[in-house]
Parts: sequence; C-alpha cells; structure tokens
Amino acid sequence: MKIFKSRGWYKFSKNPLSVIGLLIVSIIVLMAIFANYLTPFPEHAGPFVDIPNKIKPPSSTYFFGTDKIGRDTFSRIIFGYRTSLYLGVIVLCIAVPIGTSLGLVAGYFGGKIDAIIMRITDIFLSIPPLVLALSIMAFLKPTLTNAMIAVSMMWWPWYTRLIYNLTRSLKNEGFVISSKIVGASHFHIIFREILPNCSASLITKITLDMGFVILIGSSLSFLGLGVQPPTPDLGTMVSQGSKYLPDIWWLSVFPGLAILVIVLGFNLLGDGLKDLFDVEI
Amino acid sequence: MTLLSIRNLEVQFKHYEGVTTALKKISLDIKEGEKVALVGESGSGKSVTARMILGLLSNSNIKKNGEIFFENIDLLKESSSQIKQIRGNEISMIFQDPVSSLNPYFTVKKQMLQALENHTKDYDKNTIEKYFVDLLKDVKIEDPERVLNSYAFQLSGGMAQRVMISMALINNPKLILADEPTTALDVTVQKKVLSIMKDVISRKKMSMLLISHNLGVVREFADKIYVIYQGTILEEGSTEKIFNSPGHIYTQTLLQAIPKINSSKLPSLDSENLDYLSQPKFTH
Repeated sequence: MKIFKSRGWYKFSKNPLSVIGLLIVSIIVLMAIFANYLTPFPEHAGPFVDIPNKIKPPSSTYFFGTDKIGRDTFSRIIFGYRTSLYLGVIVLCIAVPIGTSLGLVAGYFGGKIDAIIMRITDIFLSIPPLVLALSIMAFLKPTLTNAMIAVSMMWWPWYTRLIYNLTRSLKNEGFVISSKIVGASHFHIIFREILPNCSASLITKITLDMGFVILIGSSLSFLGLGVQPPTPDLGTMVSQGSKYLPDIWWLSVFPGLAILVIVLGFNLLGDGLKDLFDVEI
Repeated sequence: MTLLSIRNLEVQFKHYEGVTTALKKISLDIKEGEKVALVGESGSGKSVTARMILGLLSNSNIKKNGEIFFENIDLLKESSSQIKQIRGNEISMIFQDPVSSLNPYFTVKKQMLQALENHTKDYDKNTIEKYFVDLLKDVKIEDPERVLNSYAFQLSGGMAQRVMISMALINNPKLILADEPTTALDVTVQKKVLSIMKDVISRKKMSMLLISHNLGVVREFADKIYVIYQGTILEEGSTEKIFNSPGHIYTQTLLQAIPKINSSKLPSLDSENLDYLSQPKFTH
C-alpha cells in the first residue's frame, strides 16, 4: 500500500501510541458499523427479555455477562458504541461548521463584527460545559436528538476561538494580500485562501474532540438526560449497573471500560495527528 | 499619454498619540510604457503610495486628500467594487517576499487560474495551460510544466518571484507596481530577475512603478526617478539627470552613500544635522 510508504505515515508511526490509537478507533468504528453481524446477540440491542438467563457472570457464551433481564452486555456495548459515535459525528457536524464560519468571519472582518461574535463566544465559554448542557437539557425532553443539540450548543465556541486566532494571523500573510490585489472577493479569500490553511488544526481538533464529545454524551445519559432505554448507550448502562455494585460488577465495569477505551483511542490518534501536522491546539 | 497621475496626495494616519502625515501632497506621473522608480529610505512613504494606488489602505483612521487618476478615473473616489475590477486586471502588484505571496495549499497552476477567474470566466480550458506555460517561459523558467504543478515551498526564491511576475501579467495589466521586488533575493538572482522583469515589461509595453531603496537597481531599471523623503518628493527627473547631475542635496548625499569597494569606512546619512525639507525641490 502506497500510504504506508509515505513520509506522513513514517512520521505518524514513529510514535507507537498514535498507531495504537488509530487501531483502537478503526476497530471500534468497524465493529459499530457491522454490529449486526459481529455481535453474538444482535437482537439484545432492542426490547428483549430472556429471564432464564438473567444476571449471568461473564462466560464463553456471554463474554461480559448478562443484565437483569438476560441481555448480553457485550452485544449491547457494541451497539452502545454505535450510539456514541453517531452522537459524536452529528454533534461535530453541527458544531464545527457553525464555529468555524463564525471564527473566520470575526477574524477576517474585525471591528464591530469581531467584537459581537467573540463576546458571545466568551459568554458561552465562561459557563462550564456540562452545566450548560444540563441547563439546556432541563428545558428539553431527554432524547438523543435533544442531547445532540445541547452538546452542539456548548461545543461550537471552541472552534470559533481556534479559527479566530488562526484567521487573525493568516489574514496578514502575503498570499492573502496578493489575492486581494488580484481582485478576489471576500468569500474567495475566506474560504479558498484562509480556510485551507486552517485544515491541519481543524482535523486534529476534531479527532481530539470526538473522544470528549462521546464522554460528555455518556455523562448526560449517565444522569438520565440523554439516550433513553431500551436503546443501548454506554452512559446509561453504567448508571443502571451502578445500582447493583459490587455484586453484579460486570454490568457497569465493562461499559465503563468501553468508554475509557474509545476516549483513549481518539485521544491517542489526535495526539499523533498533532505531532504529524505540527500544530498547536 | 499619461496613464497614472497622482495629484497632491496627502495621507494621514490617526492614532493614539495624534496624527502622522505619511505623504505630504505628493504628485507623480507615469506615462504609458514608462518605467518609473520611487526611491527613498525606510519609512519615507514609498509603500504607502503603492498601497494607496491599489486602495489597500481603507480604514476610518486613515485620512486621504488629493487625486489618483488612472486613465481619467479617480481611484480615491471609486466604489470598492469598481476598484476590485481594476485590481489585478489593469493594475497588478509584485511583492517583496515571493514565497509567502503564494498560498502553500495550492499548486501554482491553481493559483494562476484563480487570478484569471477573478476577472474573466470565459476562457478556453484547453488552451489555458498553454497560455500559462508561455507566461512562465516569458520569465525564463526552463521547465514550466513542472513549476505549474509545484507548490510554493518547492520553488526557490528567485523562481517564486518569477512565478509572481508571470502571475501579475496574467490579465495583461497596463500598470505593474513592484514593491521592492528583489529585496528578498540574493545579489546574483536579483540581477537576473530584474533583467527578466525589464525585458518582459518592455516587450509587452506595460508601465511600471518600481519602489526601491536600492539605487543600483533603480539605475539599471528605470526611465525616470522620483526621490522621496519623509513623505515629500524632493527631486524628480530622468535617470541620467539624477545620476549625473543630482540637484537636491539629499539626492547627492544618497548617491554618495552607495558603498564603494575601495573606501575604508561605510558611508552614512547624516540626517540629523541637515534639514533636507527646507531645501528647494528639484524638477529636471
């Protein structure tokens, strides 16, 4: 494969931790996509009851044991990954474009527009993220869609600030001035000259943020404000299992470890990209 | 015929500590096909003049008076959309640092296309590459195909500056402003780039305003010289006259200040002892 011979791959693979991160992330993503075929009991993801097999400890049939109504924890964790990744992708799909365009506009035009956008951003940034998400959820029904809205609302300001700072320094670069001189429009300068030069920082931050968004999403569902049963979700599973600790330990320990692994994977991968692109976030 | 005519241009910067006058009622003329040089020390107002012509200095803290006529259009009174039409199309500019003037994310070809597309959308897609190759050949680039598909960091300083020159020529402008185009290059490359630039511009019958602090560069390049000092034009005249019989005492001092290979100490401008501005101005 050509990519494994490239200079980028060499630089990336020099740090074994980032390769481990990439492996973890790709395995989890593949498992989540093909969950229907890879899990031993795909039907356990839905409303399913199997009372004779309830509260079984980990065994060769049920790798991570079963819960109070006999559902396989392993299958539910894989489907939980699917929910988590879905949340992460949607949240970033909303937050990144909003944050990026506001940051570009504020940084490029400066003056009053800059002041208004950045002060609003500062207000959002001054509230602790989880508190903000909790207060938004207090007004909304606890569903997956609303959890996504709440997390997106607290996530865009970070992108605004990142892109704002980059734009402020990029707009005085020679190539921006010279494209102004050849008569380019503001739109062209912002999206074709400045934005591509932000892409390394953007990609790195998005990767690092995937883990954090998943963590916040799990925190919300742990508090009962996110995904509702019977949809499998890692946070919900930890919170429901915690009632039976320490006797039925596998109900919360394995989903907890699963959250740890996915967040760790995205963080290691993000750190690797950070070294590869040589950017500061 | 006069292509660009600056009349009594005054530029003031308002700032925290008061007002700084960058240009004090300067007048300057560039005829069609003429290569004019504006010479002065750092901070004398050379670059401000170029930026004013392109309308790049528009800020509420900048006060401007006077007129800049380009083909009988007053650039200071035009709307910004009309100035955008003129920029890059009829007047283009070459900068000091060529490598940072190219966007590191796009190939040369892509950037040349963008420079073209800002002003015209109907061009023949099949022949456009040939046109770019010809432009690059004009500035003596030997392997234009490779350069077209290169990124800025894959080019040397001299090559990047030649690419910038050919990009400035894309829309066949009538006037080219060159703001210290060879300062970032070393001496041997400087000479080559200058002669290429002179050659191309003479061949295409374009006019040029060269901004420089280097009298050697100016002597080889320009037909006419304006000497600027602290925002005032002290002397103007043909290159020959300025070099052979400089009238103003400042010009004389400047010419004496060119380092000579056989002199023991470096010459310096003793500007504190002399009030150049009180001396009469010279027009040859």
